[in-house]
Amino acid sequence: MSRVAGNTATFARLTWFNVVRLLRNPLLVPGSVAGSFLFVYPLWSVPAVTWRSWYNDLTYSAIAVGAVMFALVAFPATREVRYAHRLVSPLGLKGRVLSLMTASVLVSTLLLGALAGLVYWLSGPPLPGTLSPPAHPAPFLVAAAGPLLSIALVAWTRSYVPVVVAVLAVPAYTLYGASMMASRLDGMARVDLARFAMDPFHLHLPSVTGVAALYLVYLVLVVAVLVLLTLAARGHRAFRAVCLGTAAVLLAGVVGTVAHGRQTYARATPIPDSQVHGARGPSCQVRDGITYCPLPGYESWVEGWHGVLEPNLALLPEVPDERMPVVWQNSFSYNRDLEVPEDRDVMVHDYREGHQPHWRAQLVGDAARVALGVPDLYDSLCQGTNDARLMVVAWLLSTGDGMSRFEEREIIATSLFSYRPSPADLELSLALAELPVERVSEVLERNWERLSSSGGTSQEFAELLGVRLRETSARPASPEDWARLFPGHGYEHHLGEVRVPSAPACD
Amino acid sequence: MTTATTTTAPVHVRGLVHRYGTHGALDGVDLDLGPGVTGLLGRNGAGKTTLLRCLATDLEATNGELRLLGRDPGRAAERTEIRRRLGYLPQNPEFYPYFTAFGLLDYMAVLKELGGRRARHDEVRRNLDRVGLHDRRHSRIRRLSGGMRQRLGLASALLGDPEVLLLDEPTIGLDPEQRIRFRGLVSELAVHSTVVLSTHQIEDVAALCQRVVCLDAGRVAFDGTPDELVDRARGHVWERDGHPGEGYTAWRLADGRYRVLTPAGVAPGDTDGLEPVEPSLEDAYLLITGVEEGRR
Repeated sequence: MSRVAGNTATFARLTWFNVVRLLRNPLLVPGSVAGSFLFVYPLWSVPAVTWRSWYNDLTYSAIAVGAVMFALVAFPATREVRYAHRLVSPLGLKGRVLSLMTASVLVSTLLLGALAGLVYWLSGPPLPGTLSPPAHPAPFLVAAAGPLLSIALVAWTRSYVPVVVAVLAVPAYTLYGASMMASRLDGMARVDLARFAMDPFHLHLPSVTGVAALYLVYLVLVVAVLVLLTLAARGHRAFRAVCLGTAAVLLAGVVGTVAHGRQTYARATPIPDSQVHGARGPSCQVRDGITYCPLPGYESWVEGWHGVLEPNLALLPEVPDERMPVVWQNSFSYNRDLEVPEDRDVMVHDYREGHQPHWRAQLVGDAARVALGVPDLYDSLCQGTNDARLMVVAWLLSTGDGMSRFEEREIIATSLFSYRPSPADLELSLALAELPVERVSEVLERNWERLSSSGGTSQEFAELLGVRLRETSARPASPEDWARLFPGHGYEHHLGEVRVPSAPACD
Repeated sequence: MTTATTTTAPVHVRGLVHRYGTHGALDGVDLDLGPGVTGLLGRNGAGKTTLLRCLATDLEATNGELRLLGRDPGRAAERTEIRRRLGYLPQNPEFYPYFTAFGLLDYMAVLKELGGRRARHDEVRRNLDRVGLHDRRHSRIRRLSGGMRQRLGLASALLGDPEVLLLDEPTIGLDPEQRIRFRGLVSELAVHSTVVLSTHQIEDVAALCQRVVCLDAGRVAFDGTPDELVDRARGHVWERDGHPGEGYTAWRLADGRYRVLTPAGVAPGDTDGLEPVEPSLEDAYLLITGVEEGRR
C-alpha cells in the first residue's frame, strides 16, 4: 500500500469514525432541529412557498446547525489537540484535525440537507422562483463555518473555549438586547451586527447570479481562512508562517470581496432580469388585455393574478387598451429594473400572501384605479372627494367572495381613506356593496363615459343608481363622519396622517 | 542524520544525539535491538524517555543514525510505515476523558489501520480482555482509576501486536496481580517482537528482560544481559551491622543491618564488619548509575 493510499484510507476511516460519533451525540440532532425551529418558526406565519423563502429558511437552519455544532465539536477537537497531540500514529495531528474538520462539514451538510428536504416537503413543491447555482452551497458553508470556527478556537487555546462561549452567548445576547432596549437604541442594530458576519453584503439575492457568486466566494474564503488558522496553530515554525501568510492573503480577499460586493450591489441597485438565473427572453405576457410581467421563475403565478383581476375588470364596460393595467412583479429584496408604463403599472411582490381579502383588494383596487384613470397617491398628491371613479373602485372591491361584513367595510374604507372622501362618498360606497351586481353593471354600461371620467361625481352615480343619500356634505369627511359611517374601524384617529389636506382634485 | 548502514536489527541506533536547546539529553547512543525484551534503566534525566520518544518517531533526533524496522524515520513516507508497525505507551499518557474504554481503543485501532469494523472491534475486545478491562469497556475514562488507565494505555500500545513495542514506565499504578499479568503479556509478545521497556522497577527487568541497557547522562553505561550486569557488581556488595559512614552508598535493611555498595576498583577503607553478599540486579543498577557517577 503506497503511503498516500494508506494515509487516505486511514483518513477516510477516521473521518467516518468522527462522523458516526458526532451523529451519535444526543444533543446534535435535537439541538439543530430545535434551533432551526426557533429561527424559522416566526417565518412560518407566511408559508415558505417560494425558492427565496425556502432558501431563507435554509439559511436560518444553517445558522442553527452551525451554532449547535460550534459547541459540540469542541469536544472531539479538544480530544485531538489537547489529549492526542503526543499520539504516535500513521496519521499525524494535522491529518487528524483535518479529518475532524471534514467530518464536521459532512455532518453539518447531512443535517442541513435533511432539514432542507423537510422544509421543501412542507412547502408543497414545486416552488416558484429561481436559485442561482452559486447560491446552492452557501447555506452549507454557513453551517460548516460553525464547527470549523470551533476547531480553530480549540486549536489555538487547547481548551473548551467554544463550549464556554456557547453557554455564555445566550445570556450575554439577552443582556445585550436588554441594554440596547434600555438605551433606546434600535433593536435592529444587534440583529445587523450578527447578520453582518453571516452576510456582509447589502443584498441577499440567491436568484441573482452575480450576488450569489460573490456571497459564495466570501464564504469559501472565510472557510479557507478558518482551515488555515487551525493548521497554523500547530506544527513547525515555517509551516505556521506559510499558513498564517496565506490566511492573511485570503483575509484580504475577504475584505476585497465584501467591499466589491457592497459597491457593485448597493442597497437600491436596480437589477435587470438578465442577471437573474433562469431568465428566458421577454418576461411579459398579455391575457385578456392585461399585461403581466412576472419575475423569472414566477410565471406560474400569472394564473393566480389573472384569476383575481379578470372577473373584476370584466365588470367594467369598456376599458381602452391604453388604460389596461400592467401587472409587474417586483422583488421584496431588490429593485427590479423593468420598463413599465408609469401610469398603468400595478406592482405585486414575490412573496405569497395567499388570496386573502386584503391582498386581493390591493391588487383589484390598484388595477381598477389604473383602468379608471385614478392617479396613484404615491405618484401625485390629489384629492378624490366626490369622485365617481373611486366609488366604482370601492364597488369592485366589495364584489369579492369570502369576506365578512367587517372585512368588506374595512377594505372599502382602506381604498377610499387617503383620497379624503366626503360623507356622501362613504355612504354611497356602503350602499353600492348592498346593491345587486347586475344593477350596478347596467348603470355603468349605460353611463360609462361619464362615470369613468374625472368629471363624474358620486352624487351623479347615486342618482343614476337611484340611491338616496342622507349625507349631503361634499367636503372631506371629518373624524365624526368616519366614526359614524365606519364605526369600529378606527379611521377617525388617523385623519391627521393624511397628507393631502388641500390637494387638487384627482384628474 | 548520517548515512545509513546496512542492518537487519529492528532497532538500529548509531551515535544518536538529541538536545533540548543547549541541554544534551542523548549524547551518542549506540544500540541494536532485536526480538525480546530490553530493559532500559537509568536515573531520572538519564535520557530514557527521550530515547524512547526518538524510537517512537515522536521526537526527531538532533544527530545520529536511526533505523526502525529497516526504515529511516527522518523520511515522512518511511516514518508513516514505521508507525503502522509500532506500539508506544508514553510516560503519563493523557486520555480524552469522555471516551469510553472501548471508544478509545477503537479510535486507536482506526489510527493503526486495523482492518474493517468487525475485525477492528474484535481486536479491541481482545486487548481489553488482555488487560482485564473487558468489564469496564463502556466506562468513561474519567471514571477509571489510575491503574485502569495505565492498563488501557498498555492495551492501546498492544493493538495489532506491533513489531516494535516501546513502553515508558508501563507498570506504574498496577497492582501485583496486574503486574504479573503484564509480564505474561509482554513475554508472549516478545517472542516475535522487539520490546523496549523503560522502567525504575528493577523486579520487572529481572523478571522480563533478556537484555538490559543502562543510560547515564545520555550515554549507554551498560549494555548486556541481566546476569552480566549482576556479575559486574560481584565483590562490591556488602552487609554490616552499622552504617559504614560517609563515602559509601548504604541503606538500612529490614533486619536492621546495612547494605553497602563500593564502586569497582575501590576497596572499602574500613572492612571491619563488612560481609560480602551475592549482588542483586538492583545493586548492579545502582553501582552502574549511582556509585560510579559518584566516583567521578
